[in-house]
Amino acid sequence: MDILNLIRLVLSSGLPCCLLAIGVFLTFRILDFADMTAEGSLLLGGSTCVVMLFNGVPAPIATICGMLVGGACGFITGCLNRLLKIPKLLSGIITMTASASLALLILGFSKTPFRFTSLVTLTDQKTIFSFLPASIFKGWQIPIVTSAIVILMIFVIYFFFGTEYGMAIRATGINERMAKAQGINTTVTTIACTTISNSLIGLAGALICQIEASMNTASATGYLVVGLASILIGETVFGKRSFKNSLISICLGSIVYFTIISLATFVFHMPSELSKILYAVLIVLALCLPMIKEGIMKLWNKIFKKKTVEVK
Amino acid sequence: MKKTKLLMLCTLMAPAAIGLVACDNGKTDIGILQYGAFDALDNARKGFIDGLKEGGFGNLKIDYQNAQADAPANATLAKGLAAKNHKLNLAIATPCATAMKAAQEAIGSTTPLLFTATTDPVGAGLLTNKDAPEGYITGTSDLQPSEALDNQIKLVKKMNSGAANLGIYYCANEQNSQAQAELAKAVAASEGLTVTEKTCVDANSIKMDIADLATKVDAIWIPTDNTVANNIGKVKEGLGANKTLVIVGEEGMLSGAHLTISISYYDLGFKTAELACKILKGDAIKDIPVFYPTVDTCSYLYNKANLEASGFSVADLPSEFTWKEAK
Repeated sequence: MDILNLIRLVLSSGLPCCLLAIGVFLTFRILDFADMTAEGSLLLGGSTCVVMLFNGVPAPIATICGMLVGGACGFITGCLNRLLKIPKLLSGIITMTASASLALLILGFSKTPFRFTSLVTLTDQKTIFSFLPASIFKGWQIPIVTSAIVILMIFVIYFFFGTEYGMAIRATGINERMAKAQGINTTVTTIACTTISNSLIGLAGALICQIEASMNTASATGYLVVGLASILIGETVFGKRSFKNSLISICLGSIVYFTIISLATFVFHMPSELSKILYAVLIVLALCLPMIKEGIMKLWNKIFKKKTVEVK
Repeated sequence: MKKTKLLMLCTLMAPAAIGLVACDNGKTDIGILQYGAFDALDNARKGFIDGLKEGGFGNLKIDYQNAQADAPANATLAKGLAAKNHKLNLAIATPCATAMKAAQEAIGSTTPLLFTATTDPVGAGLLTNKDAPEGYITGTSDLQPSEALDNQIKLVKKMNSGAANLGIYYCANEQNSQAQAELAKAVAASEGLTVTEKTCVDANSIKMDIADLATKVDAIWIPTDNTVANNIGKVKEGLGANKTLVIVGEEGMLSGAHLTISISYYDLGFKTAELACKILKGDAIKDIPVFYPTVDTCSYLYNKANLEASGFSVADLPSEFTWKEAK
């Protein structure tokens, strides 16, 4: 496979996952909330978007609706946790579980009369990528449009979390008691953060369903791992010095993740049956990179020092 | 710092190199995307490759990818295969077929795309005219022919002319099974069998339900129900040493049952290869209609060990059909 195709492949898989990873990052790192809703909001965001497109709704509106539905999932998780006092992990799992049935219901609106459906495919409906015709852009329409959306979202998130309210959310994640003492309503900030995070994931779902031109009830399985892996790889390789740095690191992390997967499969011809081992090894490596980094630095210093001694 | 970063990236890339099993720079002609490592799909792939060899295309290079039922992997692999300009792509199972279609359409590629193990290609949006496919996509469906179900029920009387009671067992959550059960009841009525219907809501009760049903009826029929199919071992356990015949909807469920009349995924793959050969010889896609299995293409299969465990023998099988032992 030539390098240009490989880059296009990596970008069109990796860019929608940037949004997903940022979404997971906002709850997982900023709010310190292990949110399992992700696969649910991805599925429902995608399902809503695909059904609306199927019924002839213009692509931008369908995409935004997908995002809103994702946000609604996050809102529910936040409420379960904050208002009903259900533990964080469990409230996410509850929403994720319910989403499997909800997806069947939403996808069912593509059939007249209504019938529970597990797969909806777009045939010649216009998607958000149709604004750039495939015949001219040869697949590059996906990275172009997606990167525009990702960059826009990074700016929005960056500026929002710089406002007073955004700061309040970050304070909630860092030290909830202290935030409370400062007069921050931590219930509202938590719910707001899960909502924002899951709207991003819903948006990722809406983009993925348009790239795949289809959505089925199994289309979201496996994405949470991708999101977490992107965060871990991004943070360890590109750093997490500031909020801005973290956001960019995570996006790059998602690209690196897909680069490795694509290189392994298409350049080194790894049998795809072994891919899950590769994922596992990747995540372990990403997790212990700081340790490896330290070891390398020590080794580096040793060699460096030795050399200086010799020079003397 | 720059150098350590570079080093770290290299460390990350290292596992990619682990996968370096055979670096094949030769030109690959056929891309295969398979959804998961399931028996049925594996058999379809084997059938396809054997069929190609039979059809005179023995020296083709196969670029085979398996998505392992993982959605992101499926999407990425599809995009990769689409970008490689193979002479022909094969998608095994519906999610692969839709992903391949989307990937090819995104880059405006019209490489012929074959699908197999896809029940409803029209409903999945792969094509609209199954008799004369309008685009670059055609293939084979794995829709069980309705006569196969009729014949499954008719086997009960053929095995034991004195049989009077038929048990039908499935999971109540599955609409598909319910629909099949309705069809089966009609056939059973015309055969003069009294039907006892029993359903479960989840896999936990299968063993006890079957044990109970086995004492009441002469034969049990199970449709292609996913819940029961995934727990078919429990059916075998529940049956114990009862001399009750268990007939199932498809090949994959035979490990816990006695008989079935089923489409064979190997044959389906083989048939797909016939379509592939036509394409490779230059036929237009619109002249290659989607293949739907007919009752003549179904195989009559039995599980020898289970038959003997329940006190039947291979000699009891109705001789009017050609029986094959399940692998």
